[in-house]
Amino acid sequence: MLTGGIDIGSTMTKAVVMRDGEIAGSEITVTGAEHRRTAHLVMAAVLERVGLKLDDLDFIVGTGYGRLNIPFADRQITEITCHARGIGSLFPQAQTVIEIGGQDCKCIRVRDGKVTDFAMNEKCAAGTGRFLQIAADMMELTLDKMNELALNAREMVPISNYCAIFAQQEIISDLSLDIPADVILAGLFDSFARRLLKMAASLKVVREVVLTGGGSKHRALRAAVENILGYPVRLPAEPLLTGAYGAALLAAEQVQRAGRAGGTRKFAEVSVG
Amino acid sequence: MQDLKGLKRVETMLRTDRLARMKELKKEGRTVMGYMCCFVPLEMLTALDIAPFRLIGDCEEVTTEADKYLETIMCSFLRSAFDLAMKKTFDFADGVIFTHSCDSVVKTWEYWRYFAPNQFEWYINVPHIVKASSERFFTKELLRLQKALEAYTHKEMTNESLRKAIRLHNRNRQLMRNLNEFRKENPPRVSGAEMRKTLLACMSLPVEEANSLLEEVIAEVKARVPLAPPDRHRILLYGPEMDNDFVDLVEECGASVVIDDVCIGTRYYAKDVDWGIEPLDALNRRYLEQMVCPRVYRRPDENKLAPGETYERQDDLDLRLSYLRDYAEDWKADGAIMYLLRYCDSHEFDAPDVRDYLQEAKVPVLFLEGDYMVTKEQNKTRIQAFLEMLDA
Repeated sequence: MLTGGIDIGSTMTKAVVMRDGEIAGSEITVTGAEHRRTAHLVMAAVLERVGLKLDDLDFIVGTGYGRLNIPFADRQITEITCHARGIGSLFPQAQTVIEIGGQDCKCIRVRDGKVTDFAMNEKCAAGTGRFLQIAADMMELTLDKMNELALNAREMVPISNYCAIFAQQEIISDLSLDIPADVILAGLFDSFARRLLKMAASLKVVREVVLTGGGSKHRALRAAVENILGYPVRLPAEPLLTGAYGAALLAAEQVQRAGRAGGTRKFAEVSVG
Repeated sequence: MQDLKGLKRVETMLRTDRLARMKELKKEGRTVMGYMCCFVPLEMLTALDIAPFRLIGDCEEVTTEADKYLETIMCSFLRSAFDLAMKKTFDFADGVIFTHSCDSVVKTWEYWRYFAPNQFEWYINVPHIVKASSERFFTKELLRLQKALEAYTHKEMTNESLRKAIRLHNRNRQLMRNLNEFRKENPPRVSGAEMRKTLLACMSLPVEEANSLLEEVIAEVKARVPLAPPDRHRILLYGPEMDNDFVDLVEECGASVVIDDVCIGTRYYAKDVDWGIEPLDALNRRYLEQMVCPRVYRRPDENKLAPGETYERQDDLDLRLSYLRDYAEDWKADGAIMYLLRYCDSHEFDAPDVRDYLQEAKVPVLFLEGDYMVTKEQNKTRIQAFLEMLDA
């Protein structure tokens, strides 16, 4: 059975093709302004890599914030359900998933890969990858360097503002007080982690905790979360792909449910839900 | 417009000028008054032949004028309603009646009187706590309102006219409950969006006309087959003043809103005015003791405790919220969505209790917070994810 998952996020677009339960290929690209074009390009790239055509796929699930802009997707499923499914497959023991996306973040409670409760951040950039990008840009640091500095800092000054713009002003004011960059950055990651966990608190954070989404690639963020929780968290090998991977898994379930694999991608009659 | 019947008339009223009929009545010499919130005893207005209409905002009108005076930390519903007032939307009315719904309404009231004056302006101080002393206080408030309305209209509010009005409004609420019964069916024969719109239309008509409209809608609904497929999730909606299209959004996402606890909803029509007691006492009971709204605080009656017995949190929750469990059971809701207007402290304070209580009753809850003008996309993702969660 061949299925596809495609996840158009606010910042990155990801596609996964699966063959009989295994990932056959994947692709990650910048979302840009033209969702439909990006969707086509990213899927074409994966298919080329694995030597398949679109019609070879039995079912495609689209997810993410641009999920309605995927003309070739057979069904749309929200990224919350897809991340839960993807993480559930990678980490069967996972109970709490914290996904840090480019422009939002979410906490999902899962059981056997199924969502039992979830919370998402409000519409501002607080707690998102964008927030960290803004901080890196203003301090003229690469994301990698920023993490390295924060991880090696011996002390920190807290950032009290959640709003990305106010936090930026706070950093400027700290810099003007000659506070070293590493001390500021350690505080920044700490506040960021607290912000995430505060959002998650209404759902109760239960082990195993898995971080995912592009933002979870910040090593200093993971360290800050572990420091606050007091235990290690898990991280997938490629956190950007868990949504698309979950989508491809859900696509396979759709096919199984419809009881027919192989052939062309004509599944108008596949039951929903 | 009166040639149109039932749901067609409802749609047309809301799409054009909701208050067109009120303006017409005003031209014909009828006294018309706007009222804020569910706490105004409309029976007293009807008894004096005053036509009451509900003051609401407009989701499609950008709030501009109100922001000159109201802080953006006030709820967006109230700011929108005040904005309309400042834009002279309610100027045609003879009067407006406010109540002590919440602190924001009280403060807005002062601005409203100043910037959007009407001939008759009245404020009913509704107690926040239900006990004997507040009932005595509220009786006096009702008497004050009676005297003021009588003086304004130069008419007398007799026991007979009040009883007649109570009968009409009880009929009104009974018809609304009858319509709501169709939502118990699976699939519901009337949608949440249709229910919301019908209620809004009724709150923009004098009660006799609202009753005729309701009869038409009920006949129409009764005669038709259900619109939605039978496998949709059945949602209980909890929230404040929800005349906006949030219900419609939930239904667009593929669920049916089958029961609600919102102001343009059951809070308006769930309880009748008691017929067997003195009219003013009955109004007192209906608009204070029986009112379901988080701004009213009630505690278990401590006089009924045995010595040494105490009330636990669960007793308190049961007393205040058991109706929600009944709603979920009777209308077979398999999920609840709470949509709170940001900065509505009355509801925000109660929200954790409501959420816990529903979850305890095995009703999964989606908690959302937002504005009167509903942002579609962000909420859609959350609602769809919640429905997918109920699927699994």
